[in-house]
Amino acid sequence: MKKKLMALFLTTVLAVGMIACGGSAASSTAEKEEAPKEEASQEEAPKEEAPKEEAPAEEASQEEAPTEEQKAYKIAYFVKDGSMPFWRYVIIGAQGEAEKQGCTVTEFAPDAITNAAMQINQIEDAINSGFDALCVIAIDGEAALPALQKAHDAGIPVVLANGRIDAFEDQVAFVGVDNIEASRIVTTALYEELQKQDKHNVVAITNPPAAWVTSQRIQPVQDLAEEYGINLVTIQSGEGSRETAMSVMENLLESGEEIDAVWCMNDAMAMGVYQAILNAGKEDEIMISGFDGTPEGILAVDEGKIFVTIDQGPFDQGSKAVAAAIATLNGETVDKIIPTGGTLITKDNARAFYDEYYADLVG
Amino acid sequence: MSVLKKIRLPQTTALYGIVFTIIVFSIWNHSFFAIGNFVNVSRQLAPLAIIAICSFLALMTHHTDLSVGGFMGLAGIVACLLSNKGWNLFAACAVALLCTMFLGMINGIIIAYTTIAPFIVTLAMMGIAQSIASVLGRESLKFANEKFAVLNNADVFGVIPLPFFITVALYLFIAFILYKRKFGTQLYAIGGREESALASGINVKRDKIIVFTINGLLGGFAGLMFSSRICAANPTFGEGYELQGICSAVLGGTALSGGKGSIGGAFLGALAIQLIRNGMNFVGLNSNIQMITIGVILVIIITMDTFRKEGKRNEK
Amino acid sequence: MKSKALDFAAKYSRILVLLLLIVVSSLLAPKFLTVSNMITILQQSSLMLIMALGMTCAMLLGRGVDMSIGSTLAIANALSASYMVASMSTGSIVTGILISLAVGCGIGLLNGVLIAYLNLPAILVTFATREIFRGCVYAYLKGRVIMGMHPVITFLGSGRILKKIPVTIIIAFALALIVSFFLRRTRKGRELYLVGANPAAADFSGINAKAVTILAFTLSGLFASIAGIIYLGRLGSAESEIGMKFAIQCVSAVAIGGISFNGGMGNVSGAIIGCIILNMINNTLNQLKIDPYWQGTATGLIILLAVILDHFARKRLGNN
Repeated sequence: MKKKLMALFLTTVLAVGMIACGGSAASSTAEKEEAPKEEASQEEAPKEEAPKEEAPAEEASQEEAPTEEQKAYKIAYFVKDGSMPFWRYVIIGAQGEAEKQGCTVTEFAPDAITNAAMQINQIEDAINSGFDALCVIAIDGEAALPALQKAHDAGIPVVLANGRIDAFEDQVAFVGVDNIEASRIVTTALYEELQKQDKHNVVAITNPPAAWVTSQRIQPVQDLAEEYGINLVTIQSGEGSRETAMSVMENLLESGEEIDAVWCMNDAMAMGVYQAILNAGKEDEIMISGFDGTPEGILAVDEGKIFVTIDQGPFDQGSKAVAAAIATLNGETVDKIIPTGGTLITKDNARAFYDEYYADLVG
Repeated sequence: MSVLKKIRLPQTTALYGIVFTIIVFSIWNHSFFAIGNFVNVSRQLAPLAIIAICSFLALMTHHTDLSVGGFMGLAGIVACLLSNKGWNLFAACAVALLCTMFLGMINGIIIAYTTIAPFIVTLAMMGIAQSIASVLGRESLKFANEKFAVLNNADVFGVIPLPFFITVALYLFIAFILYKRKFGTQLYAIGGREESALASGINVKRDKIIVFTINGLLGGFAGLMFSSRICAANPTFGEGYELQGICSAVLGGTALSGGKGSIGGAFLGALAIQLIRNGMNFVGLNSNIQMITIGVILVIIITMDTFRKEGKRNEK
Repeated sequence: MKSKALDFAAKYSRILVLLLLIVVSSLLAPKFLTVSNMITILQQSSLMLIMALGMTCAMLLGRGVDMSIGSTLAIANALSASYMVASMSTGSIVTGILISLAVGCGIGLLNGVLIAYLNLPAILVTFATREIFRGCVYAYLKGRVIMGMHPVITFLGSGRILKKIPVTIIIAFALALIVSFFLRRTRKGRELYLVGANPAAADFSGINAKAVTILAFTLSGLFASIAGIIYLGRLGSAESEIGMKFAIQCVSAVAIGGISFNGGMGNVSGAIIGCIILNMINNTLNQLKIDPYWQGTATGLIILLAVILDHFARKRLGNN
């Protein structure tokens, strides 16, 4: 009996505790940090957005504030993954924009970047739990369609970002650079340079094989190969992970194949590949291309470790998608296609790009 | 049905978990406690609940079956490919299930006839299943035949979601086999002490093969239910479900050492986990906190149950 | 005495499987059997081996596997790296390493206590702690990647002695010797085996099973954090996504190496062979440029073949 009472007591205490913590988590857009204090967290949103992220929804300086009362809309932003830098910046951009306009953004991410099912469950739950608008970066565009359609049918506007889903005709807008387009830009840059140097042998290292993004981004790599006289030595999966890509590259280097360049599906893998090449002493012989335009990647381009990468405009994907959602809720019309990113990062513009977007954020 | 009496809803960890979850999240966000939401949860629940059956059956024989997640993806892809070629939906699904059953049977044979750790066998099989699915359908495939979504969207008697109905029916059927049929008794015997079961003449090898073949079938079926939600198939669907299935079964009182547990508990365990995830989405916990929360909740729930067990022991 | 023979037969047969794999691979891939490639495979295996050493200790108990080592590694790295890059002095390296080890031990301790005192299934507990600490590292790093490791750390992860032998291999080898000695020659190590092999007998001889359990899982966490430090040096950065699949890969390697899930059976040499086999398979598949879509099947089939062959070899050799 005593133990039962204890259990009941514990439950109640914990329940109360969770509600107390949760209440603040739900209403503010801050993230709780249990980390040691010596960590200097520099969470300043990029220059064009003013308020700090930690502050509860204060009235920020609203340069372009609408004259009427702005409703505090609740917007749900779905990203592909909870931790990779790219999605972090998307959310920073999104929350910055929301705070400027007095709305809130709640971020949803699944437990793994391939877990499309969980994302769909989250979209459905968001529809039911009272969000006003959804911004969605779909893990799997095909699979998300029914859920997105349900949202639209329930009167919830849906803004898409990062990955085009043309089949979803009721989307409010698409914000971003399409995966295939962006891949074409960066692949062309790599292939052109190779052609100039009369080099031909390219290895491609991809995300997990069956992921939607893999099948999209790899297309230009294969389609453009013939045009530039490229010999695609092999396509191997690096699982999207830095250390796997590094091991794969080490193994490929051992195989004795002649390799002139490595096309990587994201910047993290590109860095892993660079480490492998560095250890083998071939950093001057093999070119690397990346994708995403993370701060690390941009710096690497600036330092000559990576030849080229492409920025997908994460901050803008965040802020412009939210802006479009809010505008729609206010009854305004928005452009169907809102381009962001798609900036090729080369040695010429890398430093400037980094200073403008990431210097304050990352330091 | 007298079978219903046997599914005595046990006072397991999971029940506490469900009550705890509903109370907390309902207070937090009132729209959580709504028929609409619960109906939705019951639809989302189906794949996990079915996988929980697989985990339960496997645990009863002292083994873990990690391949069911891979079967989920494979079944979806095979059904989609065939149906898109013009096959009748039933036929396409049947073939898909036959494929996963076959692979499950191979699992069972290897596990029954050798002393190789089932962990490794089923892990390897998961990789194989997922890889075959990837080769067959290089990416996400869409079901051309929209009728497939009926499996998810239809309602029985206009109110009960079909997935939920099917899940419960499956559970009742399995419970019937477990409690009213010789096979079930044999399974419990194997779960209790394999040597004794062998000594009393039970064909342990055959029973294990049956268990893993059933897992193949159910795993594939869970995958079909899953795919029908979005009318699409992808090889990676189902990744991670095998662990969640084990968690569900264990939350529901199934002992990892086998022999103890009830199928009803597995259902409750699955329901608990699904409710927690649903609840976290409802209150808008961001993803980092969701991960931390689900871990903490699991520990709390299990700890509470330990106190309860100890309390019972002291009361004797 | 019989079990000693079985153990010997088992070890012998696993090496046979390894040799078979080497033969097949070298026939298929021309550059497989080179010193350079062998060193590459050994280096990759070393990283997995360090984690496997801890996992072996945990699995010997027979209470289950430690699924949380990936998250432990990630958060240990994040915390120690951010400390070390803040001040690049030599003193900070020592502190940084200590921080990492402390985190590893801490999480391992938490796992061990929950499993031992609350009698919880290991797979469930470590699943929960895996989620908890992965969430923590996400929240802590907020997507940042910590770059710029101190040269000493880089040396640990990427350095080579005498221009040929990676430091990683030496570290792993040394650790393997230590753990092997611990398991076979020290009292606590033998208690570990006994608790796994025959819990009743262990209890009867007065062994404190709870203490042994806590020790085993603490070691698992500790080795995860040691491996983490090496990864800092190898990858040159700390990120939040590292280690997602480490636990399951590690368990596979250890299981291939003959450590039983029921506890009480297996040893360090098995873990070594298991790690090498797993990494060798990946190396061969990459070198042969096998279509990534097929690689899952290939890996799965090879693993199945390896364990089945090993099983039958063990039966034959055991019966002699």
